[in-house]
Amino acid sequence: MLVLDLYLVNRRFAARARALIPAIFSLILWVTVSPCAGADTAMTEAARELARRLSAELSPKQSLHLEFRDLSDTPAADLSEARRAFEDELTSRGFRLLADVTPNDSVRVSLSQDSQERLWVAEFARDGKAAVAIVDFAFASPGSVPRPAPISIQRQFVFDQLEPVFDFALAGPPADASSPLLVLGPAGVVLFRYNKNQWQMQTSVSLSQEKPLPRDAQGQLTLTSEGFEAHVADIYCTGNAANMAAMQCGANAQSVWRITGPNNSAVTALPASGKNWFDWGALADAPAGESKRPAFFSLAALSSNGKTLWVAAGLDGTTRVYAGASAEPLTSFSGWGSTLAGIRSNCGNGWQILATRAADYTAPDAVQAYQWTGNEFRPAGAAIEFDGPIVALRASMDLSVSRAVVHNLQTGFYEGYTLTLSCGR
Amino acid sequence: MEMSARVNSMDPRDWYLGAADSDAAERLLTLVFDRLVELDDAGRAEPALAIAWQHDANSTHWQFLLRDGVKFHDGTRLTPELAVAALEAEGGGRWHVAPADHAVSFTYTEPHPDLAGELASGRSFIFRPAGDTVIGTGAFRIVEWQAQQRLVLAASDDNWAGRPFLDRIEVRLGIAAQQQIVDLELGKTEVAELAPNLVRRAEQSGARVSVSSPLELMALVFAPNRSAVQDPRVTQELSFSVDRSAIVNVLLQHEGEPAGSLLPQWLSGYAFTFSAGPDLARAKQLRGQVSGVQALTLVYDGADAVAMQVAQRVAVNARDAGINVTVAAENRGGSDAGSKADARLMRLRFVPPGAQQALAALFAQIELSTADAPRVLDSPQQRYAAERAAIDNGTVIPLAFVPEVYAVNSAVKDWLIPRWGGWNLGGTWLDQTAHAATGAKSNTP
Repeated sequence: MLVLDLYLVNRRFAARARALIPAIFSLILWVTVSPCAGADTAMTEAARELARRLSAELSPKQSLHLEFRDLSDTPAADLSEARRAFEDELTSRGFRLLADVTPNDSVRVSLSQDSQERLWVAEFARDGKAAVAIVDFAFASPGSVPRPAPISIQRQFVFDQLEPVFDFALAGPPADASSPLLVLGPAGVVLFRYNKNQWQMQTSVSLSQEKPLPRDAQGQLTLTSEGFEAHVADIYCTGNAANMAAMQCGANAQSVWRITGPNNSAVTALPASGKNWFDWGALADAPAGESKRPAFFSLAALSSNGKTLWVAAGLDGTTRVYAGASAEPLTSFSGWGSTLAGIRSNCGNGWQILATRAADYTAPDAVQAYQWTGNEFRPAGAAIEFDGPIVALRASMDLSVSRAVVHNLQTGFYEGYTLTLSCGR
Repeated sequence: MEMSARVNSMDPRDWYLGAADSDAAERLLTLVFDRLVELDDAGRAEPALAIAWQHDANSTHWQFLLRDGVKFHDGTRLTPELAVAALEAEGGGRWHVAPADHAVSFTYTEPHPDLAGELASGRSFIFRPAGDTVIGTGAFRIVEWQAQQRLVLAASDDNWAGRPFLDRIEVRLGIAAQQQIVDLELGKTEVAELAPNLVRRAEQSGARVSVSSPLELMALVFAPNRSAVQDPRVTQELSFSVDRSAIVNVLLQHEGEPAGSLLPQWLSGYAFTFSAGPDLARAKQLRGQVSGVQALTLVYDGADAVAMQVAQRVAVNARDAGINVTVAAENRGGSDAGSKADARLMRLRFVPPGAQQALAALFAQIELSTADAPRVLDSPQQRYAAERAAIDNGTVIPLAFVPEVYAVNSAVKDWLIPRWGGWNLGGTWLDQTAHAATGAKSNTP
């Protein structure tokens, strides 16, 4: 199924979308091969090479005190293996490693980086003078040069309305002045077109509901090659902006939500009947007899070393991180809100999670970006504040943009924003 | 927008690195003209007018596939022939380029592993001559151009990256920094270049201050044939006497970093191994070893108020170490003061895409003699050695790394300075509500 991306158009300001063509057609043939993702062997081998160079510069079998530090932007680089390799290389060449600092015998080893690659830098004394040895090596995975902190969340207002909003989408190519806005709410799907500096409703179609929607129901709008798909709780609708009246809805087998992630991954989420949460659908390759994963309010995905991690906001306020099909999470923690979205960016290691605060709908909310370090999430940049609770965070199909719906407590309006991440000040 | 530089030409064929207005001119040219590729923050080439490229194993043959449907501002379609003509007009034989099927091919006798990065900067714009003017494919087209005075641009509706959000941009040239901040406060401009001493004022007026990574080195460059500085201990003595932190904290108002090396940490990765602190004891020790030196003459760009302050501070520091430094202004175009100078305070711009190119260009800017110029800068170790040698030999004394600083009206959104500096206004937009609230008199930057 061909899926169209959500194009970003700030129509309130008579803007046009900017179509960024990904470099998927790049035919660059690099001669050097980047090291295998998943194990930072490049860093370890480079550390070993640095030790070899250092041993050539120093007096044979000298006693040394080593100090290691990380000056790079690589999130939580694990230096232990590289340090072991460095020390082993030195000791194999007859050097003795001291615990205490002594003048002229100290070597400070720093993991650093320039604008294009990583560096090991050793500072030491040679013949009473300061000297430096440097070994360069590639980043862990191709194309993943981390951008320098800080990361900032860029917000762009799209629209607002008094009626509640579950999700929204802009349909059509960015250069088309008549690209409509679709808004999904409890009443149904509304089509807007931009005219005379404001969004004007064109038509609306109601959801075919057999029963009332759950309190705090969730909804998602997805653009497809045929038009759009709308999920509200366990109601599933398909339609086309060109013929809104033909939209069809029902609660059936297709009402399961399909949540896509990076690396062509996807999971199915089963809306709990009459509730605003989801159960996990059947997982491929799940071990027999494996217990079920706990239900969740919100699910987000990110890519880590080529694998997809799923981050679930549990009903008990615990956020769990899963990999593969195991019911056991890699880690779990509390303190995040119940609304999550994964986002792909040019910052850090390229993938972040956006999460709301752990608060209720009576207080203004904020979105914080987090970066996966390999074993935990760390805040990346400052949180961005809103004038009310965030009722939804959704990711675009290419995961580069997040859509946020905010209930402004001051005006009472529901506001739609797009969120992206940028790096630098 | 306003700019202090007086740009002379909007013709890419007139641009060259090292010209007095080269930074400012390139900033404007990138609004109107595209290149085959652009650079991301890591210095990697990204698609622009070329959507893909490939090369052989030796990097002697390259082919760049052109993007379909690109039009010049007069509606003419971009063709390989036109792209080649532009590159040949700018390259002076540097680009061994020929048209191919929907592509542009490059052929060299020696490896060119960084060709993609080279095409992302410098004299590699794609343009088409039309009468006595030139036409580009960029996000904006020229509506009005008065050399050294005014540039007016309009959005290009058919831009390959999408029509920009801004309808129109007016850039007034030759406006002093002090006047720019006043104009910003009066609503006559939405973006102003900021001198360091005006940052606090801009913040207090409610403008947003936007700062880039360090993109420039302020340094003392010594004339090679002046007898006063033949002994490297003289320049080392001067270097140990300079309080770089005071220069950055006081004169640059914390908008910069003390420089002990030639390249900043983000570019080289090893800048931290160079000391940037003063060492008066060491300076005086060297003073005792050197005899016969009475005074040094230091010149600075007479049009650069910040450079004047830095030069004067250097003189004060030098005096504490027993060196008498005379400071004199030098007008652009040269003067008697310049010809007698022992040292010159220079601003040296870093060029993309990486540390190797930046250091090579830096050495070229300080006109390192062929005998002294390092030949190989391929590895970080080699670059470190070259920097260390240039500093220890007394060729150059780094003082401070300086960023680009702008004051931006709060109505201007998505104003982002690219990693390598410049203006990227294709995605910038104006919040009309906030714009009206600020009482701005113009609805365009």
